[in-house]
Amino acid sequence: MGRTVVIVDDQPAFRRAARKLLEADGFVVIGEAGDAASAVIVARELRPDVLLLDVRLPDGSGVDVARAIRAHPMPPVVVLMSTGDYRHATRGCGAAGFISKAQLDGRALRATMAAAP
Amino acid sequence: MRLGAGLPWLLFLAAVGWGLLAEREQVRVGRPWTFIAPDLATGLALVAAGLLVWGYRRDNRCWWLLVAAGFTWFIGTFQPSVNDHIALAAFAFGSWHGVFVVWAVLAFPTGRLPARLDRLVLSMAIVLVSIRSLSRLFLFVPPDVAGYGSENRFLPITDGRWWRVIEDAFEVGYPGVLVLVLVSLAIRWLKSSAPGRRMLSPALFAGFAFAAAVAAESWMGWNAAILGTPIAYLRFWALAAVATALAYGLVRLRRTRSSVIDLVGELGRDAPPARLGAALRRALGDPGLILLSWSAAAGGYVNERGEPAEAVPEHPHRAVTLIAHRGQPLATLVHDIALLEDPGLVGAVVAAVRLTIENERLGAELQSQLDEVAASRSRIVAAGDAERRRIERDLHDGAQQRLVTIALALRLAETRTGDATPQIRAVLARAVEDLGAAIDELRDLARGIHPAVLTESGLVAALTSLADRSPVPVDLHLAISSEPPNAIAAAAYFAAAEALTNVAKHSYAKQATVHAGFANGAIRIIVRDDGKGDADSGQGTGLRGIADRAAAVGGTLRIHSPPGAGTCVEVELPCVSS
Repeated sequence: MGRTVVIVDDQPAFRRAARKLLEADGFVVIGEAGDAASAVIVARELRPDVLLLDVRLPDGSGVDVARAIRAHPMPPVVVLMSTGDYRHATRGCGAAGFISKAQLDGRALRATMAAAP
Repeated sequence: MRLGAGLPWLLFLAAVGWGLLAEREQVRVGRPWTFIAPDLATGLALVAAGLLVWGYRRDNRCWWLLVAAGFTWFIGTFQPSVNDHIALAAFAFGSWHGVFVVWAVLAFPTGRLPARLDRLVLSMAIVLVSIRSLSRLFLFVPPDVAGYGSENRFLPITDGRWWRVIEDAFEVGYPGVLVLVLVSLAIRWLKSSAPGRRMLSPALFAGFAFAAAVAAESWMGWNAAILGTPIAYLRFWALAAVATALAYGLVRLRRTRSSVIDLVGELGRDAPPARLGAALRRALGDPGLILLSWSAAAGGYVNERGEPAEAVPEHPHRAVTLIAHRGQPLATLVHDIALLEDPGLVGAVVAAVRLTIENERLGAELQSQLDEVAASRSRIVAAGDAERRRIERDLHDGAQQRLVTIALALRLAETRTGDATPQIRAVLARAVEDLGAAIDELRDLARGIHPAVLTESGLVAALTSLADRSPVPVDLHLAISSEPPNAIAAAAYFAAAEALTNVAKHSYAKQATVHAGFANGAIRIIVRDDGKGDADSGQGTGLRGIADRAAAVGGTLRIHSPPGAGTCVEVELPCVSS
């Protein structure tokens, strides 16, 4: 079984496209969330291997969500994503890396996870 | 009448010549220098005092009255002349200087005779001196008295009693006139308060001295003076003292004017209206002066403590001077009535006060407008920033998201085109590539409009992101302990962004540094590079835009860029670290 993923983004169309793309690459998308508050709950409840987290969420920042999740027992690997350039945002929040949304696919996600410290 | 600036000197030289000509007659008859010197000095002192008045106020008739007194003073000095006509004229008209002196003293310092008593006294002096002159011309005068050695030649009168009666009447009447002059002066002195008394006191004291000298002379008899006793010299000195006193009074007045000039300077420097009253009291030497300012809010005058007050003199010797501008009341001065004796002085003070109050009003208006302009500029920048944030957000939530979703869909399609022709796969790959480029361009455009990272993650993250994206390596030294207000953060970010863009585009630098931190209530962003320097802040709109944006929040932009030594751009933005 492939790695389990939860996608957090406020755009349903993006979540749908991302799910299909990742699943085509062997990942198993076990959940989705559209805002920061739901992301924390879903991550805690579903315990995915990877939390693919948009930086800009309607009710807060994905960076804050990453910090909150870091305190969970057995936290997922958090990968931030955005249309903008937020590579710097991974510092200090526990995120494993950053992927530009336009570059997202299974290969990019694996590469990011592999490069994580 | 327009008189040239050289006239005083010409008149004085003429007086000197005239006086020396007269004193030559005294020298000829062996009069001692102890007589001649004070006689010459007295006449010249009268002329000099007159010329001093002329220099001060040419429209004041005191100047020519004193000059006339000086010139007529020397008429009597010609009395020992060997020419009988001159000697007779000197004997007959030698007292006319007294008329001019009396007139000048009564009219001092304004040159006018508004009081009926003063006009009456002057008329008495003119009548007395005229009668004396006529009697000396037409009545028999004993030759030993007349001094010109002959009997009267105009009328066949040989009875010297008539002349003696008139002389006796003059010797009683003229001191009486002087007493009335002193009474007039004393009344004016008593009615005046400090400023008026300062002007009149010298003339009053000198007038008493002169009256005392004349009284002593009358008491001892005319012949005693003629014989050159010390009494005669006293009268000379006393008259010189009168002239000096009149001039001194005017100098005091001029000092008051000088203090008004100082007042204007003081008001121009830093005197706010609250201290205006004190400055006026000092300048005019009137400790009782009251300044009432017009208050539109109160609908009337208020005193210096801001309490409502009536603009009426509380004492008969106080006067009210209104100060208005274009028909609108500005203030009112309640002051010593004596100051009205110099309309120019009051006019100068009124002008100074009007200027001060008007300047203060204009200054406040200007400051208010400047504040409004500054606030308006800040609001425009803030509104611009808000609009940029909205556009960036719309781009992010709309076009960028749609394009990203389409890009993912295309790449999904790529994974499912195993049986498609190579041409179709190539088209798809090209579409994915072009779409990626479009997304990047749109992202850059959105970031240029407003950096979302600044809003969402703060200035440190935004500057870090800037440094990360810079093609020239950047050393970051950030000491920002708290997030500055939005407008300040935006100005700081755009300043650093523009500076780093210039580094990349124009400097040929290998390394850049960005320092950011708080100092003295301001946030300071310093961007340095090791490039070629010689940056021209006048070229391009980037740095000008940064300077405008900094100015909109009260900040400054400094650029130091010597040729060959890199460029340093420093932006300081007022900001209290929270």
